[in-house]
Amino acid sequence: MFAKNAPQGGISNKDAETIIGASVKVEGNFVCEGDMIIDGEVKGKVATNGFLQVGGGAVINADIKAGNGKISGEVKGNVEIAGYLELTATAKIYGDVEVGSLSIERGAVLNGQCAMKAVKAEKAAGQEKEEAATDEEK
Amino acid sequence: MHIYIYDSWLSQKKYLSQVHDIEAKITDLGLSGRVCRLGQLRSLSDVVRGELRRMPKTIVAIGDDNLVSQIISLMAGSGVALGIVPIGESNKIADSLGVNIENACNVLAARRIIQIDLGLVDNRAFVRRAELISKKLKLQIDGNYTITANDGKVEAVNFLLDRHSLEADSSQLPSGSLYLMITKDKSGFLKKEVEQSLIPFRELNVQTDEAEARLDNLTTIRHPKRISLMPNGLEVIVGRERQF
Repeated sequence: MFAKNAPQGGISNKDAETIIGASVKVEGNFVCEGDMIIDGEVKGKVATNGFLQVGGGAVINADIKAGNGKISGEVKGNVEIAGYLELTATAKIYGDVEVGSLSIERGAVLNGQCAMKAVKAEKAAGQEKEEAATDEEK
Repeated sequence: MHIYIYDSWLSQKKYLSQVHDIEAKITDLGLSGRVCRLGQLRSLSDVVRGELRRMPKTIVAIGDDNLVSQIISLMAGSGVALGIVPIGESNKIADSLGVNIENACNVLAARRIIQIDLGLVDNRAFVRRAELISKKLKLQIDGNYTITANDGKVEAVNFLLDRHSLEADSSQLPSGSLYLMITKDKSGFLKKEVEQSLIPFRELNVQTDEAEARLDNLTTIRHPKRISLMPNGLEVIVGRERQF
């Protein structure tokens, strides 16, 4: 419902379609379509096409998929962001990260592999080309 | 035929001239119909159910949000159009529909009808909000995930007719959803702070046994099991300045 290219500084409560407050716990397949703010606890899976903002006190034990994102809390799981991801100084990620573009503030913790989507796509395209060339040679 | 339902307090002196003006306008516009005045001996549900059996063209509520909410829940799914002439202190529903005391009769005459979604708790319709009351609530949302709320005020809200209560710019909220709103007061001595959670849903199952649901602050249902959206549950006459 809101702009897919959300501002890189994050979103306010007024702009989000889904907000999980600090006192709320979510368990299961948490899939939404609009922009989302999580300040509480989530276990399972998180997915949205829009912007995902994880607050400083949030604890997420789940794999995350989102359009764009800003993480300030703790995430135990893999993070896949199609566009831009910002990790602030208080962010703690224990899992692999795959993003379009990334910014990490000093103090953030990232324990896992990090892959850039563009580089991955280039590599895949390169491999396809190589395979096509070897097929032609044969 | 139009049926006009007058709230009981409209017989008070201070409203007499307003009521008189409205009746004059209704007559001028050729919209006259049957008048039902509520009182201690006439319950609203008997009046509305009795009139719906006669299949009127329109039922017009003359009163405030309280009367309108009750009439909507009784008319849900009937296929009869609702008109509103707002009088009294609180008229948020009429505001949302673009109706005010000045334009109400002309809106009735123009007869611009739209269908709106309502909320349902089990089989009972609500217009604006259903508050869920329990010490600890566990709710399953759309069959996908569960929400646990330990404290705070938990409500299922139909923002279509209750846009004033939302902090966000509600004109951007999509229709076709109810919203679960969990509000917790975190105010301290010097600081006023409210934590608000907001989750869109179409169907919610209450997994707590000892819960109660209070519908539009009017009726209470014990042990509610399911809250869902009733798409196009009501036909309503709206003004040009409606908020959705």
